[in-house]
Amino acid sequence: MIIRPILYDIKKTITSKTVLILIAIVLLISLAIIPLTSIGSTGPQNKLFQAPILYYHDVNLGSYHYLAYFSNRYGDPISGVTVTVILQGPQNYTKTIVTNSSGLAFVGINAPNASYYVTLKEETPGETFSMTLPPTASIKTTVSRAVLALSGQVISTVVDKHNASKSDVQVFYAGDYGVVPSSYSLYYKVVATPFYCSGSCLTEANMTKLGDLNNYRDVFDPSIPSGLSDTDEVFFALFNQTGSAVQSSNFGLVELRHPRQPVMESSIASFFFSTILGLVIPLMAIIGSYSSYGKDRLTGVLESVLARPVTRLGLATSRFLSSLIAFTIASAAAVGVVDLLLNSIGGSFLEQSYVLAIIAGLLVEVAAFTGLIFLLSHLLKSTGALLGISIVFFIVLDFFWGLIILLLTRLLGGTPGSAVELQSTIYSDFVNPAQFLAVINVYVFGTLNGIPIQPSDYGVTLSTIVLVGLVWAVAPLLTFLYLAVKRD
Amino acid sequence: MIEVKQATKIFSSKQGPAINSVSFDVKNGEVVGFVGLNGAGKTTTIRIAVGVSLPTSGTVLIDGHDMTTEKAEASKSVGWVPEIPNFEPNAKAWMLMRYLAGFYGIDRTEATKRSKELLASVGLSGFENRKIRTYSQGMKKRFSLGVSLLSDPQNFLLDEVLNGLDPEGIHFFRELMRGQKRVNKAILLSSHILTEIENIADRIVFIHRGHVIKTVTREELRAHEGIKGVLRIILQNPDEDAISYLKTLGGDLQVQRNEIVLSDFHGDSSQVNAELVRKGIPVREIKYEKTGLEEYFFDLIKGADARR
Repeated sequence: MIIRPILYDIKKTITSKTVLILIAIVLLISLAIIPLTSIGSTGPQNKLFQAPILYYHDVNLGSYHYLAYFSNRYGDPISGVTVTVILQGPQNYTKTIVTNSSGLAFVGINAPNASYYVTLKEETPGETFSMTLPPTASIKTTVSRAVLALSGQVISTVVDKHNASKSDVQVFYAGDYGVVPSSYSLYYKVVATPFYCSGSCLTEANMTKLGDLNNYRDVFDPSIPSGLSDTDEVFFALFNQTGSAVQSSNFGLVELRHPRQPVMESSIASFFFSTILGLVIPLMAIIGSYSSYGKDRLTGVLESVLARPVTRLGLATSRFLSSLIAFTIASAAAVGVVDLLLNSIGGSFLEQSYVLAIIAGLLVEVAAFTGLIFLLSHLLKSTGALLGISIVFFIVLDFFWGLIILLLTRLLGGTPGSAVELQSTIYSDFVNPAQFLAVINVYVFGTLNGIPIQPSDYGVTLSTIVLVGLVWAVAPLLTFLYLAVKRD
Repeated sequence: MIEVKQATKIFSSKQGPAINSVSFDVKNGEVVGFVGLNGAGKTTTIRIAVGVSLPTSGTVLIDGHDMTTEKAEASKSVGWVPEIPNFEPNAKAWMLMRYLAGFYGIDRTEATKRSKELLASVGLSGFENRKIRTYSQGMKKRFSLGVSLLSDPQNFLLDEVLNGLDPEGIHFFRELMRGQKRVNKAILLSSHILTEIENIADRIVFIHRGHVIKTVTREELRAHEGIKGVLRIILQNPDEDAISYLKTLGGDLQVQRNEIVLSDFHGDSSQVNAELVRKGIPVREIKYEKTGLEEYFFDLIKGADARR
């Protein structure tokens, strides 16, 4: 018997004008991720990903050659980057080349053999970068045609396009005289640390082949097997046609599986979820709960339903559930829209577990605020009082909470960025349902107010988050149900 | 059948109980008037009886089901029309009725059909698609009555339903109550005006300051010496035949031109009218009034106050 009223109430709540408007607003707000992404793209995390500058000196012809490759953080080539190489010596030489569609810029300067200071400039719209390369005289090569990497590593990591939580391996290299490499192969080996390599431990024979390098650059998916320790390391080596290792690099397993720093999407998403959705969802829950229950109860409209064959507990539960389901669907839809937009802009979805954690966090926030407004509607006597107190609640918990805690901490002697201040912030976030997403972000990203922290040192563990989430989701609900059943 | 047993409601410990140990019953096929001044406790009692308010102590049984502990079962056989119906103002009438029908387990198709039929039966045909907020008070009462009929309940609790209605509305409600009584329904009808319900109620429960101070049957009320019925008849031609018939009805007869006043009349005015017509005596107007009812009511109240 209770199912039908619940279904009726869910439909009634979801299709009510107020809720539809709120859902539309939330979905529209989720589009704000687009400008945020473009703001993020000009920030340091999205600058050009530059592979090493390759260099060789053709002594016979009397020319200096520089080969540069520019990509985004996924390793995709970026064309149109202006690369200028300036040689300063007995005479100055300058040459400018724009990267082609493969992201490559071949800069060859005919200059007599001499000692030159080398400067390299990169220019993209809105960004100029300059770096000093080693002077030509300092580069000793046994074979003048051989290619050397002047900056960075030939074997580097890039973000996996299809799974931003792991990294791929990018190799950028050239054969003698800067020709397209042929018959080069990349090998890898997982080793437990500490790893001591003496002599020829990195050979094709005791490593696993990952693939051949048939172009200046290529990206390889190491497909690290599961069941390894996070402290293990992966060694990569590039072998030439004679089986000699020409380049090698090693990365921690953790780095390959999870980027040390949150990738751009995660960073923007965490900001968006905790700051914007964290603000809008409680507001939606407050207005929606007022509209679907508080107003009906305080104006007496609910009595016209209570007079039907339904128990007080049944009616209260159905109204709560219908509000919770409606607002959770809206929240999850907003998260989904954000994830889709981030994918279409940045090329990768957010990590699934993070998305689920955010949806669970929003569910807790919705449940907490819905429960609180339902509860308040049993304690207050008028719709005006309910609306007024709800708005004050929202403003204090969402806008001024951080400031209040900051002032209190300072009054108690806490200094900016001190452990006391960080601990106070964490504790205050635990007791404020509007900050629940912020707590999840602290746990996931290990930063608080931009300061890297070890979450468990401040009591932010999976178990405390689950416990606090359960308390916020259940305590207001149970109190509300008690009042709804036991009091008029 | 509605049984109110020792119902007490205390809203605030600073004030006395709104109702105190109120007990009475309404049997099937009976209309019980529930009379008291404003604030006497009528609405509080009815709200407890329909389950929208909880008693501090005592119980209300609806067809044997406790309204507090077996709310869903008890509410199935209750139709409630409050004094001021309060429905979702922005809902369209038939949609709201269909929504409420869902609580009675009526499927969607049947609910839609029944909603439209009931709205027509309470005189709201043509207003089904209008929002409740556009309804007048009388229309809201009719709508509320329609909702109360959704499940064809055995018991009706009508709280001051005749208040604020036009004569046509009053007639409509009275006829409806008579019809429901004929099909053995139990009806509790509250009012603060005794004369309003005296001629329809089989019994009257008087409540004052939260206490039931008296319960009387219609016969006991009519037999009370201070209460007299006055029948005023205007005939086109008051001839001997008419006068001699009216004298047989008892009481004092006064004839002034074509108006005949029959004091201390205790019969049924509609039967008198029917008999006159049957005798071929044209009746211009026939009006029955009771005197002494208000005095009786106030005497009861004074007596109750004196005893306190």
